[in-house]
Amino acid sequence: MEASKPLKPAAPPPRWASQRPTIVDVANLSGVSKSTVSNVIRSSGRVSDATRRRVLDSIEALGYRPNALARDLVRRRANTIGVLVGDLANTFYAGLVKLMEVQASQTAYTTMVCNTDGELALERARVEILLERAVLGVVLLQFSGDRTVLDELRDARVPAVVVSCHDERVDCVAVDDRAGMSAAVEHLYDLGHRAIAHVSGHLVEDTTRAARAAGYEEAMRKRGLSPQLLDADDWENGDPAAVRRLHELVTANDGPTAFAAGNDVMAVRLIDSLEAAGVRVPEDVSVIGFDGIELGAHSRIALTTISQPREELTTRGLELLLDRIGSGSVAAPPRCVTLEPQLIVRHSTAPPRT
Amino acid sequence: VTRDGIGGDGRDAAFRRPTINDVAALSGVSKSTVSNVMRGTGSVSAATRTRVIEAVDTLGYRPNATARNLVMQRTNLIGVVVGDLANAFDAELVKRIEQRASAAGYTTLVCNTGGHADREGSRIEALLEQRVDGIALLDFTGDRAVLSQLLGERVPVAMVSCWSEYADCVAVDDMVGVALAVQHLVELGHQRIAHAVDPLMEATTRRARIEAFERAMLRSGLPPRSEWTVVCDPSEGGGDADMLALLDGDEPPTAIVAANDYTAIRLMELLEGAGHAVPGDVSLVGIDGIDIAGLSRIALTTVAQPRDELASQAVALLLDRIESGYDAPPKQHRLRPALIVRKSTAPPR
Repeated sequence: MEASKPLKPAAPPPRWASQRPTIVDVANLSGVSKSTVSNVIRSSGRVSDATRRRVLDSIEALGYRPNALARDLVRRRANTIGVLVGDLANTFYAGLVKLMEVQASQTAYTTMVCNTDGELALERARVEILLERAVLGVVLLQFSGDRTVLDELRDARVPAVVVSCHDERVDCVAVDDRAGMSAAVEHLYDLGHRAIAHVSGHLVEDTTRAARAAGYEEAMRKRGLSPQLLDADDWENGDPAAVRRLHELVTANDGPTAFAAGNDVMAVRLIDSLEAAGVRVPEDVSVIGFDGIELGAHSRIALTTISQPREELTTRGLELLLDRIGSGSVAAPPRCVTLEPQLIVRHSTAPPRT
Repeated sequence: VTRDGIGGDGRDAAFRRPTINDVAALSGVSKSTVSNVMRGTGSVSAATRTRVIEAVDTLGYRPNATARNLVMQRTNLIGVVVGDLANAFDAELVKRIEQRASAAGYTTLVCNTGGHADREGSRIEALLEQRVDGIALLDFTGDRAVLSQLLGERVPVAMVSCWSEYADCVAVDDMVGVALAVQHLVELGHQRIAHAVDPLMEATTRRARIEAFERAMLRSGLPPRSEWTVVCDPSEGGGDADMLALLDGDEPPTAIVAANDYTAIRLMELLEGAGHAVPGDVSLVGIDGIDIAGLSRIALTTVAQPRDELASQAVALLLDRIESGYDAPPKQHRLRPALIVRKSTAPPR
């Protein structure tokens, strides 16, 4: 370990904010006015090449960094995009945030990430914070559908885009959840399943949950089957009584032989709970997920799922948002981009036992 | 078609945010009185306060955080620099830090570096431009230039789950963690133990982990072999292939300590795909204790880091540094990791 040279300055200089080089220092060193320096930094106004070079050299020599706060005050906005996510611990969303952050920073935006835990009160509070921070736009990776939040954003003239869930009142990019769920039911039906239950819970964002449930019910009714909706929150806390009830449910005579889960995380946990109750997947019961998380592709999990095109969701979402930020138009009619989800068959689904 | 009655061309040129002047005018008081009411400072009569608050409400005035911060030299922003959000350990830690920071009135700016030093530098630069009050580094590439810049600019820094003697740190003791993993395998009877390193882990951290592994081996009386430390990179011709070659060799390792759970779970699939049963042929230990490691189908034996404690101490260190000033000597907390034995380890055949 080479750690002999102390990096910390020996004598404490005054508070950091006051001793940074300022625009005045740059102007003095390069022998031009403050506004010329400012023009060079913002690439605005007319500055000769020679002057520009002199200013840039001074900036380099002094280590001057334009003060984002002061600059934002002039422009009344920060070069920041807010990202609201429901559950960062769900790798589907963490993956979206990661892509969003990488893509935004390529266009020189910084992302501000807030987690809402899928709770409406937190969602409202976080949007309020982002607005106070004067973000240029907001990406909602999870949206409760709350009218107040939309009104708030609209009143502040801050554009928003909803990514991975649908809302016709605002720009959005999402897969067709109904079609996806319908494909899931069709896959199970084609394998021979008739008693197919739908499992969802509070960690699936509300509008998405509703759309997926509707897609499920529609697909079941179309085939003359009666829908059965279950709440995963019942057994997800590891309550042994709930696991026992799950066992009773699937071992009953008319119990479900297959589950279409509201998302992959829920499907993976369902498999875990089923196997803890002595029910084998897919031998005894089939499970299909929705989202296409990395873990689902792991050979030990091998989850059949309806996969969302993650990269396309984030690039298109960012495009919509930057377009609105650039054109300064918040009131133009909302645009919705619908992407096609894709069935990926792995080993968590099989024909029912006869 | 617009729903809010604003012109159909989509431009909102006519819109102007209400300012403090509008509030002052409507409530018939001075700007500084409005400011006092907003910040809860100075003495303002109850009647005046009510009038101002009503005006604020009527106009939908929102105090400009930027302007307020310019006066107070505070932004209430915390930068969070993370290596890989796709790694559940990082994502779960960020989530906890965000929750705690926001409970204390701070907003987080999250940057993902992918473990690249150049990206780390540029993201930190962006955070400094935003004048964050402090930065939590969840991953640190060990780039001394980055650290000396932060320290030189006197920006409060807390290192979480990584380490530097010059900054506030909270981390589990790598030496203890790796030693627990090695000791567990040795107790099961393993002698030929390989070490799988995550490529997203940068040089300094990687060196520390490798050193910890070698020390733990030596302490158990086992000579570590340098060719058995493999940087497991999934890309073609990367370290994954080297690891498989080792296992197909004459005297293959019977156990692997992976630098983190993410790598261990990835290796589990790789090894089984190549016909090496886990734990039948090879035992596998991870480090971190991410949620999915506990799934019955994964059942990874791991050395768990106390995530809640890491997050709460990190935020406490950072806020303390932000609020009480820069000059106190670095505070450093080592937390104890704990071995969780599941089903990915067994005695060698």
